[in-house]
Amino acid sequence: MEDNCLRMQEVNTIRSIKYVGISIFTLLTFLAGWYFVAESGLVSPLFVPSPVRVWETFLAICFGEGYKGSSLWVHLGVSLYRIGLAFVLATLIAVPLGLVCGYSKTLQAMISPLVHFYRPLPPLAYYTVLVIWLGIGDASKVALLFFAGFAPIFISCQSAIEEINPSRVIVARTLGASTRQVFFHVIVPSCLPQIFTGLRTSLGFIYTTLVAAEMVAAISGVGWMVLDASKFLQSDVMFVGIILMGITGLLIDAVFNIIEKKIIPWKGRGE
Amino acid sequence: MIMDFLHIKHVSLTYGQIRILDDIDLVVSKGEFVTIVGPSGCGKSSLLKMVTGIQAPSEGEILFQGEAITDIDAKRGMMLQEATLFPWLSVRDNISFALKMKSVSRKEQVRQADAYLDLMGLSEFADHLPYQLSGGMKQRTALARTLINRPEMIMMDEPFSALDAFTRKSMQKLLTQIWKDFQTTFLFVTHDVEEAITLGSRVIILSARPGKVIEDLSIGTEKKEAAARIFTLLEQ
Ligand SMILES: Nc1ncnc2c1ncn2[C@@H]1O[C@H](COP(=O)(O)OP(=O)(O)OP(=O)(O)O)[C@@H](O)[C@H]1O
Ligand SMILES: [Mg+2]
Repeated sequence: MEDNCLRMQEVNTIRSIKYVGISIFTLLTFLAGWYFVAESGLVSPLFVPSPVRVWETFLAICFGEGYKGSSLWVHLGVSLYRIGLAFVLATLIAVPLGLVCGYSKTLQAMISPLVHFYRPLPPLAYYTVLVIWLGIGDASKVALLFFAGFAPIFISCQSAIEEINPSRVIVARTLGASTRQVFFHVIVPSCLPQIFTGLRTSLGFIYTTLVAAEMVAAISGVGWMVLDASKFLQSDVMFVGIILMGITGLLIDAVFNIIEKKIIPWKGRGE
Repeated sequence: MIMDFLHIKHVSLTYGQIRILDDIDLVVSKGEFVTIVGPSGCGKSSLLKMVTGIQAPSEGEILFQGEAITDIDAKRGMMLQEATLFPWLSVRDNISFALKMKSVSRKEQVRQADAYLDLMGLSEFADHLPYQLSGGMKQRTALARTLINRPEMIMMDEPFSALDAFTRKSMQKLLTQIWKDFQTTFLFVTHDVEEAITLGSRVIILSARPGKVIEDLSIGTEKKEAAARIFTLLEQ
């Protein structure tokens, strides 16, 4: 038995190494293709800068004079700060509010329509209003990102409560759990997987809204850097920004994955 | 007069226009192992729900130790067809859940849970999460989790029906042993007549909807052993 298990694990490891290999191969092929297209002179470097040029620009913005007075790390840091603050605020408010709305039909009737009204709006539509209210500083940007991230968390928390297996609550009560204990020892942990899904979607929305948020009256941030560079047709800077955002997004997702495996290893595996 | 342990007093249940249970009148004494059989949809689960306290009868009332049942009570434990374990807790922590609710010290929780793990033959799996268990192990965990709270009565709704025949047999053996050792009262619903006779000290047969008691049999140990032998022979 145990031997078989080990064998299975080995097979699985070999398989996953194989697939990682395939992914790396695709990536390298892509880079090579990019390199040849750019270097052959078929396409103007204005449209497709060579990877070498992008790398040099990266080093320059990173360790050299930076972009428009700030190094890449400052731009990235500013963006991550905006994202992080908006995400933390959205989590702190949407999780309890969503859970409570899942519990109380009255509160749900009060708050849900508002959320469902603004949720499908394109963020840029109400960004203009936020800017008038909050000014062109960080406040309006964080507010925009907050709204982008709020709805997915709120909705997943609310449905998490609604989808709890009632038997689970009944069993807990026959085991002597009080209403309060049921909430903290059964309801909250039962909701964790869905809360996590909501957090993850939320962070995704916030991230994609970032460029929009930095479009108006910003002088820093990766999103701003890409937009600003586009005005001057500095495609190498744009590429650096875009690739960097892509990698940051991947890293954030990876961190989420690790935390999720740690906190809710039972997710998606039944009971 | 001696107070009845459980008295289901002329209980009827209707959902809308449909009469599910019709004038059920039963007295269960402490220490009995009552099995309830009947055709699907005759209201067996509904009857258990009423005794648990999550469903009110349309007519009549149910007295438990002289008091009307109006809500769930930790004196009446329960077990369902699905183990309904808490997926975020280890097997040990699932078992000691009731103790945690009573704020028993962690050390005592572990001590008691380990005794039950041992009783159920689950010691090796103490730190596993429920999704890592087989169906039978899940039900043993659920049983231990119910027992640790020392309920006076345990309601079971087809707890073994999702298990394979072999596992079910061993669960039945375990349960009979536990009944003898713990002297707990059981109310056990099943659609399997053989199971009802093997386990029960008393078998109640309900009619098709609306469910009525059509037979109420006490089964002595000798008769039971005879029945078990016959079933074994029939199987061969
Ligand atoms: N909440 C409800 N509302 C309306 N009808 C219900 C409800 N719950 C159960 N019923 C009906 O009551 C009847 C009895 O249901 P119950 O689950 O008690 O039967 P059962 O004897 O346990 O059946 P089975 O052997 O299939 O488990 C069924 O016909 C069912 O459709
Ligand atoms: Mg049933």
